[in-house]
Amino acid sequence: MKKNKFLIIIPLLVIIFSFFITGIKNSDIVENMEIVAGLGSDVEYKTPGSVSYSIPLSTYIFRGISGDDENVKVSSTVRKGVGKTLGQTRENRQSKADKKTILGFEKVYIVSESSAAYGLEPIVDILFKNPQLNDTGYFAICRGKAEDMLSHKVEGYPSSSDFIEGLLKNEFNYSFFPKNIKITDLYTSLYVEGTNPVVPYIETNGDNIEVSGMALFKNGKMVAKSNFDDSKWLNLMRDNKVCGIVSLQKDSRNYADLYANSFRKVNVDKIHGKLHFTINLKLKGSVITNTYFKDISKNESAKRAFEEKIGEKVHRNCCSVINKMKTEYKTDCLGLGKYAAAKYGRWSNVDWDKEVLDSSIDVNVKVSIENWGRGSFEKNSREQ
Amino acid sequence: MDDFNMNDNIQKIVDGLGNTDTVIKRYFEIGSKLPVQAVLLYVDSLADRESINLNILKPLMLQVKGDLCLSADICDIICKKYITSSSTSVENDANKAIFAMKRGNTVLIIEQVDEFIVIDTKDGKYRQISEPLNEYSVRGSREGFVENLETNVSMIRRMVKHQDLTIENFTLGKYTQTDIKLMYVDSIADESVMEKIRDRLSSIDVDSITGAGIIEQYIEGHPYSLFPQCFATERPDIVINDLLEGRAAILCQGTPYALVVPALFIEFFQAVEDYYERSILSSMIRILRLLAVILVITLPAAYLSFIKFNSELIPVKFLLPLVSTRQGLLLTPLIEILCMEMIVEFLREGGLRLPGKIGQTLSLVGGFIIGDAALRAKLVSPATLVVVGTAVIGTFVIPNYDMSLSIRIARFPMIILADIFGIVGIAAGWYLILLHLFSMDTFGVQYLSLKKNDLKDIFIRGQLWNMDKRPESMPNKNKIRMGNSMKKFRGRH
Amino acid sequence: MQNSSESKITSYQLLCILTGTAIGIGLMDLPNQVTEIAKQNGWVSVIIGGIYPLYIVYIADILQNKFPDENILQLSRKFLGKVFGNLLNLLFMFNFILYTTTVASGLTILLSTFIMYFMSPIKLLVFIVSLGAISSYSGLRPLANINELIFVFTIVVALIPLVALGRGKLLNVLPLFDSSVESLFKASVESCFSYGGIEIIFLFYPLVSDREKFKSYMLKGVLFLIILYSSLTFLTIYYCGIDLIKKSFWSILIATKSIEIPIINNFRFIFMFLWSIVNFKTISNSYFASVFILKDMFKKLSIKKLSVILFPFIVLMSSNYINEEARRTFLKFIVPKYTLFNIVFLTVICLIGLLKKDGLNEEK
Repeated sequence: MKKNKFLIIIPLLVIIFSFFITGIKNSDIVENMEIVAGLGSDVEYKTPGSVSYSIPLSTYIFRGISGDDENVKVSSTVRKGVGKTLGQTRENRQSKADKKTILGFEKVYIVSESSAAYGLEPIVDILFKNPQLNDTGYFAICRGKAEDMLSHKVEGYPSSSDFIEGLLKNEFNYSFFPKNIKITDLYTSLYVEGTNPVVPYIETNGDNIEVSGMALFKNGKMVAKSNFDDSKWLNLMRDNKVCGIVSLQKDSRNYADLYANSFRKVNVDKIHGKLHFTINLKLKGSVITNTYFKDISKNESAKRAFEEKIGEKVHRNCCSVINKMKTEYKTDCLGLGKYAAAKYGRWSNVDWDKEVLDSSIDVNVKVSIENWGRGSFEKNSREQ
Repeated sequence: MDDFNMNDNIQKIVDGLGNTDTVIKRYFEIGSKLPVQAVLLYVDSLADRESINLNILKPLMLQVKGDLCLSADICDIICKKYITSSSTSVENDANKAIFAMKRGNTVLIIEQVDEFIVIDTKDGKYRQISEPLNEYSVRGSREGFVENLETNVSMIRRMVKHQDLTIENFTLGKYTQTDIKLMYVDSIADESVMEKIRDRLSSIDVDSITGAGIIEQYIEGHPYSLFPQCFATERPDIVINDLLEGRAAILCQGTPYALVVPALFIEFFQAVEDYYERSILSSMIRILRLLAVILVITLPAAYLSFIKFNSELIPVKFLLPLVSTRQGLLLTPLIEILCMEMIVEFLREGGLRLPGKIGQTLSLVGGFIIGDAALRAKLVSPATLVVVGTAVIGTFVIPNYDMSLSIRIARFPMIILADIFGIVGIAAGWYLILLHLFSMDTFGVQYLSLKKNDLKDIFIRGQLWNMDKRPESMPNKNKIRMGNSMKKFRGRH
Repeated sequence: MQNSSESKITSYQLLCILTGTAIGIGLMDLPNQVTEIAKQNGWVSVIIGGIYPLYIVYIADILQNKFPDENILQLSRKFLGKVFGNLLNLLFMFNFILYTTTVASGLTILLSTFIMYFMSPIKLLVFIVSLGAISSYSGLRPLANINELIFVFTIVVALIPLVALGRGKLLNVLPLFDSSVESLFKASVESCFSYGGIEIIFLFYPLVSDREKFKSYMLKGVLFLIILYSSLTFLTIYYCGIDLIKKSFWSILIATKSIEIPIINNFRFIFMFLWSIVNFKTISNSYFASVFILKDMFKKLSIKKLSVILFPFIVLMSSNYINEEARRTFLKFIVPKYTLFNIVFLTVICLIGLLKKDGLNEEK
């Protein structure tokens, strides 16, 4: 009886084992797969109506230095796949590559300007459907071709994607740049009622890669780009808890800089059937440098005058950006629509973009200085 | 004189003992004028000759003044007046006399008397009480059990002075006739559990019992399970604490450790050191142990599943160094891990068999050399070595040797499951282990149970003055083990 | 060795079994179902949907008081006659088979999509169902204990999406209460599948050892379910917004993806790991319930044999809806009907039980 039991169990186990272990597809050991550092998206217009997609991937290459077993040099190369649909680009790319690619480590997603103008929907759809995708990768639009951006050599990094990741990750420290520029944030703002995505815009400048503004979208297509200065005020009005520098300048020698943290609150009302938005901004900051105003740290009224002047400057700049939004960009890039949707009902077939562009937008700015630094090197009045 | 009676008795005893070479028959006479014939029977190596000479022969041969008359109570008179040994008894049954002789006692037969006088002269050379080899404790006693059953029982008796300590005797094994003692505290231990243990012990019908490990395998309820169901320990203080929780201890002649039954899963992870240290320190160490167990079972399997299947789940910062060092490796991940495990097991088993210093050196040097050479030959990657090494070291944290072996073995099915199914395999593996643990029961008591009241002693070690009830997972008669005032103190005096 | 079918379980273990059978794969797409109709007030519908389990527990309490030693199967045979009673018991059993198969196939699809893309779904399904079969083979007592342990697990897993509180926007949940009451009620019907499975207490209440705590523990269990479901739905709407929920199949996962831990790249796998263990337990519970009912009908076969016999049937049935759309369509069709059947069946038994309360001694 015991002997029979084992005669049955062991072959059964072997059969079960082989049943499960055979037929495994789509997977290989990690060192045999191509690791993707950055994903790009380009379109080429074949005829005015149709495009062919091109997806370049920046992948790591491990090259052992001869004679030295310990160190392996890591560098990168760009593999491009071209096709009529995004799925076909995968096929095309595999025919030129020696390993299968795995997604999941991408640090950045770079979409070229022409591709963004053509429409984000195909790219975001294929990325969203793929469950392996890295949801914490940064999303940016680039000038020119994404392929060039990805193959741009940056010193000290195996791939330019690493550099761009650091670039976008740390940009929030200044220029009122938003922190939510990952691809998850794109999912929550694309085709969502009341908002349009606003994405960082990067370009190469000689040897450097730099952020040069924000790309503005409407209905999933890129319609405008705001330059660096305008983006500052745009971001200030769009996001909460961002920081940046506001300066008052008389001439090249006399100016004051304030590093401010912003708090934003939006109120929405209906006046005569039209929407009315009030953006309340509160800036709290520390004075970085001051060679313009005298005695603001000692004199209460001077301090208040300074704060008011800064408030006026911010107000002026914001209003000009709002004007630009209504006349030039023609899209709701401040994210005001969702406040209206929150108050007046969702999924009600109202075109919030149009409503926001027709609405009146007020900006109230309050500034307060919290920190003066170590001391002040300004000239004393006596020494004049 | 009439020798027939005596020779018959002698024959009875010699027959009962078997091979007659080792039985020594010493004929002598008691008395001076009308001597009475007597014969002393003992087994050569089991009885203490010094004791026989001093306590039996000398007084009876030299100090009997006058004569003894062959009356009915001559044995009684001899025992009470002349034999200076500390324990004597008079038996009618030859079997009992044989039984006693096998244990080193001496039998005195007087002519024409049908009784046997059994005198205690036990000796035999045994190992002295020394430090337990496998269970070291910094703060506890350094005494460990030895092979001699009487010594072991005496160690326990010394510490549990209460009158409810019960000792039952068994003799198991047809040819070895080993003495087994079952000890428990009558007022605490549960009746039905003790009944089961008694039943199983009495039902053992084998040729030889040479050690307690063999008894364990005969009485346990799940022989095919990975986990031990009896707790083997060399320390008396562990046995005593367990007796007071309602368990029973089985002591076997010739085995330097005691078996505590029924054993529950949790107690294999509790070291005796935990109770002698203070609460916070012990709790930290307990948590460390729990982490070690989880790590040992899961780490190699998780590593394998990440490398093989779900590469995108590897932490990003770790990825580039990992892939760089894995370029150009010879073995596939599963074979790599299994090979490394096998080599580590070889080193470990080899180190056990070799004498003393050589064994230690072998394990150490072998590990270094082979590991380094394997790295250079690109057989394995450094990350694999770290993972396998950590898993191996983790098993040393488990205080009980049997359980650490089980955990060691439990790794391998987990690795196989991870190789087939990836992370879901690890989840399934843990689920199956938990299911198996919950469906096991030892002697009618559930093997793994996490009752709310016991939690203060499982994952942490709560304050001793808080543990006023005995563990609920072990059925017992007397639930409270502490006076009422202890808890109120809470350490404040 | 205790006979597993005669073993007693405590009220606390029954609470764990109740919540354990209900919390399954249905939780993942609960926000999808309710926000489609009730928009951003979906979480209110989930609370309203809690009426169903409360009603079930109320009936269970009445039956438990009146007939403490007979489970629902014996009662239905007693009140409605042997043939009709057995037929209804069979239908009741199909309820649990439905849960086993849909949870098994749902888990397979979820795992195949996110982690196990390298293995064909059928093999994974066979493996998962075999785990359920092995658990049911061991009997009731280990199952109750595992439920107890994994209940703690479930609480941990359920607390994970709380992290989304920090990163969501209150805006997504506003405006409050602008959906019509009718749509709220319609949406609460959708949540029935997530609450389903609690009917298992009708099978096991005779085996509970401490009766006096029965009612309080069952109510606590249902309360736990309601709070868990509604808070998770709320958190998902809070973090994602209803537009994003519409786009993804398993919306709760998006909320968990928002967690960023320094070392671990992707929180997904920890969540999947814990969630798999929770679902193994759910499948085992429903599987065991089906086997239990079968044993009640075929008294000669033991639970072990029945577990093995039922295995191929469950695999075959689950493999029918291994793709997500087919599964959801099927569920949308059958769940309201089955919920109705459950309510009617149990209410009828309860009413007959109440009516016969005076004539209890006559029934022998």
